[in-house]
Amino acid sequence: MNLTSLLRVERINLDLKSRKKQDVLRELVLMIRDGETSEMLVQTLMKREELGSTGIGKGIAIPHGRSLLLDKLEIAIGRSTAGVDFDAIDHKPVYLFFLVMAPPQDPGNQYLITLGRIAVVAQELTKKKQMFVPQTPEELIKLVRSIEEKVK
Amino acid sequence: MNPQIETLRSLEEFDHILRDIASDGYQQVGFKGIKISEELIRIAERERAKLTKKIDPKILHQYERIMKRYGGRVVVQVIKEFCGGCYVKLPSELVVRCRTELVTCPNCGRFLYWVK
Repeated sequence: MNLTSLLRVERINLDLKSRKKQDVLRELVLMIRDGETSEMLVQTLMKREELGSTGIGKGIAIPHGRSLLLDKLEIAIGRSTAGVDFDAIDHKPVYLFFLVMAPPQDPGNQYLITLGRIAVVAQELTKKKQMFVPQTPEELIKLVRSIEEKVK
Repeated sequence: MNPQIETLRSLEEFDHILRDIASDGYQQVGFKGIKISEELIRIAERERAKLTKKIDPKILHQYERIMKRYGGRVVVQVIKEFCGGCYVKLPSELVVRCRTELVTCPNCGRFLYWVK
């Protein structure tokens, strides 16, 4: 399972403007869907957040959920320079977001495998503040690729 | 969009989220903030109840029955003129009605959801 192959330059925003949880989720969702379905996806993610924040600590959050409105796994990445109060488990601001959304049934349960892969890569990105180094989406993809090669 | 079908969609998505959380795979991927506990079960029941109380008990019973039978995919999208669950071709009038009314597939009984 290769996370890098699922990343798209147009689905990476290294300058998120929002400062609130729901607004950040909306900004992320708009990279994968626009129109009326985008707000439904935001509500699905908010439902998931009600059960416990997907802010896993050290400035990383992995908001995720399944939606009937999708037909394949979708990923978007966002970074906030200012940080967002996301009710993370360490109560610290979140800077890097990995949005993962999938249909209810996905072949080979790629959804959970992807979440696991992101959790591993994210741990590496927190070391030496690597998450703040990339200045372009291409550079972030390159960094993720190098991490994946290292943690294989 | 019919509000009942919209609520059913939210309910099914929520049920999938709960099923994921309870799965071994999910517990292994490192979401330390979410562990199966009495507190979580209580929150989940409360959040689920917020949705189910908006649904007619008969419809809810039908939802639970289909969920049990198929293990998911209770609310399905209409793809062109086909049911997104069993892929049977739907009558044209049903395809039109599902845009505003709560209707089910005559073959599998799933609730039909239409998206532009």
